Amino acid sequence: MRILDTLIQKLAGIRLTILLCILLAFVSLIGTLIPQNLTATQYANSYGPVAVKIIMSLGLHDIYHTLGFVSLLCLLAINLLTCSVKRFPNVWRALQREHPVPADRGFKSWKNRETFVLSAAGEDLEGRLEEVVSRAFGRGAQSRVVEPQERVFCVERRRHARYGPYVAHLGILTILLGGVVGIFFGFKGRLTLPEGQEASEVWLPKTGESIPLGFRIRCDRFVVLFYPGGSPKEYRSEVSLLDEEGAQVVESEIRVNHPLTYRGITFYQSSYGEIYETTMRVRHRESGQETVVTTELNRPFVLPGDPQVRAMAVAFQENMRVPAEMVRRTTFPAGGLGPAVRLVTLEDKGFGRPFWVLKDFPERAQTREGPYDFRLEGYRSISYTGLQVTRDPGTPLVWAGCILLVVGFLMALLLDHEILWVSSKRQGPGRVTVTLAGRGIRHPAVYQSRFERQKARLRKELAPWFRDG
Amino acid sequence: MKESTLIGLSIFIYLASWVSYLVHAAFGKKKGPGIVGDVLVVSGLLAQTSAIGVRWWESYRLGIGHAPLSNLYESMIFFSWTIALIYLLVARRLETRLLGVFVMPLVCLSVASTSLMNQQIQPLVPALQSNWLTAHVVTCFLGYAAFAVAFCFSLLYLLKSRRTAGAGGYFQRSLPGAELLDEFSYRMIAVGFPLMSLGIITGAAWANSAWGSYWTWDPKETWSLIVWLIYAAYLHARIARGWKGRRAAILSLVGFAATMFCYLGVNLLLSGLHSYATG
Repeated sequence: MRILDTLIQKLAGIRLTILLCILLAFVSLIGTLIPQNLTATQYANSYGPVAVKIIMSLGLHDIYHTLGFVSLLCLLAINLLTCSVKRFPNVWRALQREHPVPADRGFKSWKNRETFVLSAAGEDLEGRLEEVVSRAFGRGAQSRVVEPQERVFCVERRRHARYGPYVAHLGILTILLGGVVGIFFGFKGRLTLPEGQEASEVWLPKTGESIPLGFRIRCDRFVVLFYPGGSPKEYRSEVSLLDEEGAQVVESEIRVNHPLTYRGITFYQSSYGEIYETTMRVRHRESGQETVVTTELNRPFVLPGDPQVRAMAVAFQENMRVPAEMVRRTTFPAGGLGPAVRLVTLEDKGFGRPFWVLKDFPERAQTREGPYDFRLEGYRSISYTGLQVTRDPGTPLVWAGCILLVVGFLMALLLDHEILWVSSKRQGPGRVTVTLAGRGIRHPAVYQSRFERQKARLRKELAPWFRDG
Repeated sequence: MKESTLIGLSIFIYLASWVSYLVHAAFGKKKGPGIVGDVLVVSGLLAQTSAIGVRWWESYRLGIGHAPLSNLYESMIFFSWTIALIYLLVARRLETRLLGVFVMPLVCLSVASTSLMNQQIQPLVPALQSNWLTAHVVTCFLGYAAFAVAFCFSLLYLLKSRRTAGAGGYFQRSLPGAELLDEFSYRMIAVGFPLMSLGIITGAAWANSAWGSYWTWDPKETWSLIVWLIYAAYLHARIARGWKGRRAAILSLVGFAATMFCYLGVNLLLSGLHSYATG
């Protein structure tokens, strides 16, 4: 049991908090020095073969998701939780309790103290002192008669400032919880949508799987606007959301900083570009059969003559460049070869060798061996929009946590729990001394200027009794 | 007046105020140079404020109106402006003006460094067209500036508390008490920390609406977290474990070094999403 007690003691300790802060800062720092989430080849190119082994085996390429880093975060959460659970009840009880009247009733040992000597005041003042104190410092003063000639009031202000650290810690825990909820119940996907096309599922890069949206999204138009100087002004996707039956339910636009949310799924403008649609004429040499195919890249199509054989366009260039040395050896024009599509055949055996088909040099197709004759007849570029598709049910928690965090900080760091004592003592006939003493609990060193203001307030309220003095 | 003229003028005035504070430090018995220094800081701040105003107005005249907080040049101008402002607010509460000896070179240096940067008023690229821009930049830089002033207090503290043979030099003797310097440094961090947190939070909210993720471990985000963790460690060490004086001062220096790396180092040395602020 003693070991357990010590363990809890350590887990709840501020020493651990400080250690974890420094450790987390250090590990985070490493993650910013080594670019994250590159491939092993990319690391090998910039750091060499030995370093890449170290990086990959220690997980330095994805440091924020390593077991070590996540453990540090968990430990921090446990530390905050145990620390708060352990200390909060004490603070709560301490703040509910009435402060005992200090033995040193002259408050001689208090740094911030002021005594007002009211030479002409009498019972009149003593009777109204409570009123005076509450006018000066607000209600809530606890009056206590100590001796027949002596009365003491205790005023506590901004007591709730003491709860600040707990509110802030609760905020951090809520943010972490929001992060965890996002990881387990949310997703981050990508969607590439050419103009005029629609999608009903979204691809998740992390797992490689596609998940259904539950509705369909269609890109009606993608627009880029530029400033006169040439820098981009606006990226805008005009989209329609369709239900399962194909009826349009929403028509809207997605811009950077202006995402579209529907049924808990949010679409963000993330990238854009052009894809090519090529039109090809394919002839089966043996049978003389011909077809015209219009297709995008990476979409297999059936070839004439033999339905078992398919082909696929894997790349397209509007103007294919050739090396200068090749220009010298051949009759190719130096300015480029014009539009070119790279094709590959797919047979039972697997992929064939990829080859280029040039639009402006159709005669080259005759010289290629093999059963087919390919001609590139035309092409068209289509704009596509790249959308980030996210569902994160954890975000409300994160924002709530942020609010708690800031409120907690303001309470803990900028306000201070203040204790003021006001004591009055009859010194002789008609002569009363009133002593004000004050203290800031958390920030005593900067309390003085505040005390000056409290002093001025009390002096103002006591003014009627200064009159004859 | 043109913006560049006003900025040049403010550099000159800030430099003059630094010289006044130095004179004040050297011939401390006389109050005059110190007061002159204060007046100069106020006028420098006025010149700089008008420069910011002129630039703001100019951007609207060009039809691309936005608050001048969108690139490295504009942020650096704003950073130095907040340091000077915070200095004036804090200096009122100090009996000595020696803080100016440390703060003013920092202000001069940051304003002067802007002459190396691209000063053209640029239109906002789509990612920057957000209501979060002003809130994010203002809170971040108020936080940075508070840390900068805390850093100066910590430097003064280290100078004051340095053990010297005899009673120490004149400068050292004329500094306010070590305890007060230490406390002021702490107060500035206590002000800067919530501001910086607000800066991170507004940044996260912005990233969430622009890129669909409130946190992506981008180098800028990560460095802001590093700064935040260092000051969090400082506050815990101080409030709960009674770290004061030398150890606290050193932690404050480390914190400010990290802050400066977060502001400048990340943009200039590391690549990431936050690349607007390089040009």
